[in-house]
Amino acid sequence: MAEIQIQNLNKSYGAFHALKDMSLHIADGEFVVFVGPSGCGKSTALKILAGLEAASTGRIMIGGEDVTDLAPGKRDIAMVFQNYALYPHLTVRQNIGFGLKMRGATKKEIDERVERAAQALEITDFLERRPRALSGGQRQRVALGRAIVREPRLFLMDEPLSNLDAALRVQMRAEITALQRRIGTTTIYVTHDQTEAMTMADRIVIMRKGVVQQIGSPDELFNHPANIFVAGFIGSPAMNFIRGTVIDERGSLAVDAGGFRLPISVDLAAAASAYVGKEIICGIRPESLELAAAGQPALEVVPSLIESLGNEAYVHFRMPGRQFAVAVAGEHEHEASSSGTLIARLFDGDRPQAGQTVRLGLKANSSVHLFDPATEKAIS
Amino acid sequence: MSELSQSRTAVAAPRRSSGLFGIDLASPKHANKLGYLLLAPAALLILAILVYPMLLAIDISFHDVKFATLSFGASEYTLANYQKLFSSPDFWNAIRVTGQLLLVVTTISMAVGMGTALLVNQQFRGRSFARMLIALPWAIPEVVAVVTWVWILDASFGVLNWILIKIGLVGGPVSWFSSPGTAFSAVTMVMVWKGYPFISIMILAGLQSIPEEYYQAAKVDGANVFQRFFWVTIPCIAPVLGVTLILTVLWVFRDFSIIYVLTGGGPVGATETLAIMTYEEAFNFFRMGYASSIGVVTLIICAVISAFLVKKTSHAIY
Repeated sequence: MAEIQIQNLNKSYGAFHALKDMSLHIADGEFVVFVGPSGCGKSTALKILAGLEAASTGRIMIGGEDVTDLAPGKRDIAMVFQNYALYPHLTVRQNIGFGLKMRGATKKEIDERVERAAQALEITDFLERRPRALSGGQRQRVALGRAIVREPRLFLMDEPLSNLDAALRVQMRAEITALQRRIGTTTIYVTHDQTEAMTMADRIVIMRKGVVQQIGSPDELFNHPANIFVAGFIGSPAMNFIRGTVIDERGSLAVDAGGFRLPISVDLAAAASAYVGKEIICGIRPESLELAAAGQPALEVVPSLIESLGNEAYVHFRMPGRQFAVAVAGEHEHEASSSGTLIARLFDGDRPQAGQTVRLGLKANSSVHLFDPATEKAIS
Repeated sequence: MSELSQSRTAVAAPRRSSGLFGIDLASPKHANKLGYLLLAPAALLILAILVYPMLLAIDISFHDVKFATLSFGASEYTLANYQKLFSSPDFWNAIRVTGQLLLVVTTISMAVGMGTALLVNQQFRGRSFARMLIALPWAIPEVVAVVTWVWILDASFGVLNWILIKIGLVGGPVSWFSSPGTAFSAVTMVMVWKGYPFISIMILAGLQSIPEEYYQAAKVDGANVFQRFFWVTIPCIAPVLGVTLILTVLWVFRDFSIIYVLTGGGPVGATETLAIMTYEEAFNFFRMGYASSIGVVTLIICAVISAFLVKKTSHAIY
């Protein structure tokens, strides 16, 4: 167990700058998730931390010790790989004990520690089996077993759940989080799935094109995104972005988005006053919209699609000329979720029909996020 | 809607072929028949050029046949050929030479093949050129290559002697084919040279199928380069190694042209393998019955060795 210090880490492959000036301090026992679309540099950062790739510049300290130039085996870390990397010719017992054996542990010690790790992960029944005789979830447990058995200072996990089906992923997600809380080892977890990041992390490091966009707790990132990218990446369905103009209505500021009036909250008013009469981008979470009551200011739209999930419904609609495409969600940046349509997420009762005109209003107490159209940074 | 239905009728109906003898071989019901039909030519060919001659050879080996005749049952069945064979010092010498050659050539060419495969599996500039270079000896026709080697090794004007004398390793020209030790070494060298590229290509294919994560996981687990080789590389390519070993052993066993062109089995039987002995008995002395008995013994030894190796390597991992 140890704290991790990453100082000005850079990585270039020829002209391609994969990681730009990453700095981060991770406290002892913290669970940090690196998240971002593919090619954002999160896996590169993890490989550099593991020692599998050399950093171009920068320093890595684990527990106060400079490990930048140490071989992977000398860093006292353990890594869980996306495809588990279990050796097909070894039994589960031998796979878990592999690292101990390579370090010259005695047979008795290996047996004891493998047994303990297997009990913690409830895999004692398949210790003598080969990996190919195991299901995906069981293999995942064995891969975790191989990591925890050495009791390293740091766990590195590279998209460990992406090969599992959806239901198993949710279950393993909870198990990994619980395991990490129980043994308290500092963990860095890489994923492209914002749901995994939100549910597992103490702190999230959100990255794009090699640059750290924001570091913060899941709530912080959700409620106070630093820029349009973070706002669009965190949360599902993704935030809606609408172009509007800031107007001053007798002292209280609001955004006029093509006849749809969005009030600006008091804590944003000071910052927003500089934008009066100028164009701005508003971010509205799908769950901040509801069916407007009669007489309430509302946006009249004709839904293009209504998806029902039983207890809630996603209403897809368009605001031609107003909507602002931010393609950030999903593993690949081009897999946009907010580029095509805007979405309102309606709970219980509110169930409009497709093709019918729907009046959408802003929920009371819900906040509108404001972004500068030029810098894409949050206005706050 | 009417447009759609019109275009639907314009599409031609799937052609119904009456098939072979009125049987539609594409139907699932007759799929087996198609399989047998496609296999038949190959199976008949194997019967004609492999099974029939083999049965013929076994039959001849139990007769006293002195010349190439197709004399099924022409004379009485006799065990004389085998009695003569097992009491002949030449036969036991051939067994010993074959065994030695098998051990030495297989070991060295497996080692060289593995080494070169590991080498050209690395990332470096000119890797494809290096891979081609390694495969080259395999691409040259065997007799052409061996005749060239005969020149290289020639006692009076061979380039090898010239090099050895120039760098001062030997005092005078070495007559490679006149003493048993050097003749055996020359045969070994040429066989390794001719045999390692195949091994190298096979192992390279095996190496390329090992996921990079296995090595990364081993590195993080603190395995050094030798531990990674013995715990990751070797077990992962074990199936390939097994098949390659069987094929190499059988190749050394049956190879004739290299030894025949280089030494003709001499001097004094130092390089006379079972293959050479069979040829000499059959086509120099025309003792067909006796030669066939050597062939049958060779066949049995090969079958036993490959059965053993197949059993040993087929379930090595997975």
